[in-house]
Amino acid sequence: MARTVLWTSIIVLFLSLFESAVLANLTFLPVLPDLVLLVVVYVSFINSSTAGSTTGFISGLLLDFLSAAPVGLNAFTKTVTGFIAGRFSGSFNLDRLLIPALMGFAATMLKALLTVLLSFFFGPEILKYRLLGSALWLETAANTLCAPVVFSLMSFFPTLFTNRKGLR
Amino acid sequence: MNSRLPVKFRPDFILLGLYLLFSGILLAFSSGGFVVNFRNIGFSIMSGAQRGVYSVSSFFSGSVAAVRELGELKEKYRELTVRLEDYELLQRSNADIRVENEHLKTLLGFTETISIKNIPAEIVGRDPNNLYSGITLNRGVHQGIRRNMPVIAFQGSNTGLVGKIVQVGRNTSLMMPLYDYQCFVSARLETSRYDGLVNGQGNSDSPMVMKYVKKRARDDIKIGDKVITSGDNYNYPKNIPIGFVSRIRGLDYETSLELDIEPVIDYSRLENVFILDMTVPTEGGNEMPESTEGGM
Repeated sequence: MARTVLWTSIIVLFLSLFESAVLANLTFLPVLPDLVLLVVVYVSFINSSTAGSTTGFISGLLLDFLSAAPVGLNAFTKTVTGFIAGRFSGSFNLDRLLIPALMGFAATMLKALLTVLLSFFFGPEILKYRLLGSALWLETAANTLCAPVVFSLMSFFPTLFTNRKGLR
Repeated sequence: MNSRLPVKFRPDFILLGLYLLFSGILLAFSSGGFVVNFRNIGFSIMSGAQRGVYSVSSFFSGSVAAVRELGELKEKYRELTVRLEDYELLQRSNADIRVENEHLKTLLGFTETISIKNIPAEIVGRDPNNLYSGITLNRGVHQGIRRNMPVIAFQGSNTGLVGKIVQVGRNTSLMMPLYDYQCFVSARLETSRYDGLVNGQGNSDSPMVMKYVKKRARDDIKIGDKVITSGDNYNYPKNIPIGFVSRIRGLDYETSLELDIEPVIDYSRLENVFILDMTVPTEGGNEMPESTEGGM
């Protein structure tokens, strides 16, 4: 599992830097897809909930240091997302388009729900998605569209992201 | 006798619990002052790497632009050698130098027009989280940046407040722009002199909102009126333009007006900013000279 977590952390580090230093500067993009979330979902689904929560926690923490969000917010949401995605590991076959898109959609919805819950417990410093706000739906659409691409790209490297022992 | 415990411990659940506990503790402490500032340590490391990635991407984009420009130059060179070789080439070089010189003069001029000590900075990154809007600048503690320093920018003939520093690393800092949900600025209408509080709406495309403007000001406020900093609480210098009134809202049962404010500065084109050090005493005090630029 350590190998999977290590490689995922490296990919996530690269992706989060790419998002903040390159993609975020493209001001014509209305929202950024949460590529880190998609990576966490993929790694969790093809491994286990243990690997999922660990990669989610590390990825979230890395992202927290680049964001104006309170430290721990991304760590919390991605840990939960990774754990839940890991619980579904092996429950169904991962096809090319539909299942990844659905998982991207569901993960974004879960993230939005978690921010609402955390905002309730930790106060207004934690910003939450508005149900009728454009940010939620644009990001959901972006993640839904990007998920099949990210999953396909990551499936090219099964040895890096798959836990050999299949811990569960 | 069965020695097995009635409760089965699942390692994945235990791990999840530990991670969530740790994340929760971090969340609880990140807004308060804990002995170890995880945010500062992490920010210093990650924003340093962010700066590196930005430099690499700038290098590559610069290289691509340079290659493209080289191709164009070759083409032009052929044309020029056919016609007036040296003369036109020299003229072109002169034009390039003049443009660069103008740009540098403008930046230098901006720095000199600010009476308050200022530190020029460049934007190297933006927040990867769609709900937050932090902007990373390439100046940090080593260059004299501290938390809560105001940040202004120049665009064309316009000067405007763009935000304040909320996080400082060794060589980088994080700016909270005016359009952030959590940014509040004491403001004043330049002509009618009514006070209010400007708050962002989380998106650079959405207008900011000026709240708590007295209802009796309704007849004195017009669309296009300029809003400036009031200088109350000494968080920001006085008289820095913030934006222009684009809409006036006031309901009968409310005691104050709400004004939509279009920012002076276009954030999508923002590259260079100036961080103001208000702790250094200046001749005119911490006040910007009355601005002379035009309206909307």
